[in-house]
Amino acid sequence: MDIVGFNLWYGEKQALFDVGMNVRKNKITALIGPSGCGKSTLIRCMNRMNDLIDGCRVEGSMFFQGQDIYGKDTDVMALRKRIGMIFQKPNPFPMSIRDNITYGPRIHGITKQSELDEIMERSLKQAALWDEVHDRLEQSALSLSGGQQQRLCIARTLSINPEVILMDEPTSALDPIATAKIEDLAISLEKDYTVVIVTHNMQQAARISDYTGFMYMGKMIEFDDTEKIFNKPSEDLTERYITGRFG
Amino acid sequence: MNRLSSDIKKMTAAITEMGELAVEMLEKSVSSLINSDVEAAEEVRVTKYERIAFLESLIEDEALRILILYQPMASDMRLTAAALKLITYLERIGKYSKNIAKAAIYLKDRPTTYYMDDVYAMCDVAVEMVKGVVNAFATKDVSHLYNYEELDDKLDSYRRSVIDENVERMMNNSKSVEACTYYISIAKYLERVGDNACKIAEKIIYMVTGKRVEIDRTVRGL
Repeated sequence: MDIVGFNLWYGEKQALFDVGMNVRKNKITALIGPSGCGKSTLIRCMNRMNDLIDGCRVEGSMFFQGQDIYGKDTDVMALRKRIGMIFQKPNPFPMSIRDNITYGPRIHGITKQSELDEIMERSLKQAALWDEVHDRLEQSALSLSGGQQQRLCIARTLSINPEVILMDEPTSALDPIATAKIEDLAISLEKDYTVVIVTHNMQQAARISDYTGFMYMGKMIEFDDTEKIFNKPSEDLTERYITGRFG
Repeated sequence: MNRLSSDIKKMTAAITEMGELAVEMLEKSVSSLINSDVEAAEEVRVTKYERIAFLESLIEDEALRILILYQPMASDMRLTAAALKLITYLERIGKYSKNIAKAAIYLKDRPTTYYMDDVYAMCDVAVEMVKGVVNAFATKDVSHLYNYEELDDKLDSYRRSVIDENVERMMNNSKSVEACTYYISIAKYLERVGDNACKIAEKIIYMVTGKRVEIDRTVRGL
């Protein structure tokens, strides 16, 4: 995914300024920065979630495999099928575990029960949740713990075979053990999917990502290999942020 | 200033003290050798060495505490990582200084009229190297550290001369064996001080630039 000279306004207020970055296939890219720096805004642009916000206007380019995400002909539903999103707070549907996973495939036209079962098992296994829930698939998803709910949401995203998974602070509402499970999961997904993660936890970005972008006041201050960003960043502002001197 | 900054500042001050103490110990042990000053030698052997050993464990505790509490990044991480290695090298310089001081005490009653220029020249180079790294730690100017391999080679070559001279003396006069053995040991200590200064230089270059360099290639037999 290529982002070039990207700007965004919420009404009169500009939230992103000339942002450029490249999201590499089958890699994990992390976005870090203080609250309000625009990292969630940017990740939400990647599957056009900001379309739902009144007065939101964008300029610049965002290409996904050569296709302009903001092009006039872009089918937003099809785009979101290819680029899924996980939110900060787990948001399972108020239905059974099974139905949470099969909901997406069903609205995309899959009706055969054996095929739905196969998708459900594969998705739950990929999300490292199968062992914990395979004997209670008919129970409400809301009976699961927070960490399990978040993995269920990841399984739900995986059920429709996306190419990119966007994660907007996926562990900020979870305890350290559930966080570790999600991090392990993100790393295991890397070989088949492209992952973009927004996180407030710099150690998390350092642990799991290949590339890191540091944003500040709507601008991409520095984007580079994660190791370089956390070892010897080029920009003084990045250095000051990651060493806790501000933000 | 946040807590991490204030803890980093405290640790930096302790490392600076330890570095300056290593320089002081080395200079004092060398001057006690030259001037047969037992009092100064005793001070290095006991009081100063106790202090440098204490600082080593103090800084190690502090660095580990910083790692656990703050999981430092970038320059803070490089400083903390370097600190854990620097203290080992500085303590060893302290220990070699202590050994030189012990030799000075032994040699006091065995004044020598031997040719000592090579030992003194080694002292000068070793002191220069240790002062240089301590200064680089404080100023973050590492430009002069890249020629440490040259200084290290100089120490090695002086050491070989000291060995040759003393072996010859021992062969000519068996009564000199004990004192000559001490001089050979002193040359070994000074050469090791140089090796440790090279390792410190490597760590300080990493701390400042984020790049790993290899100055003391003899360690790997290159």
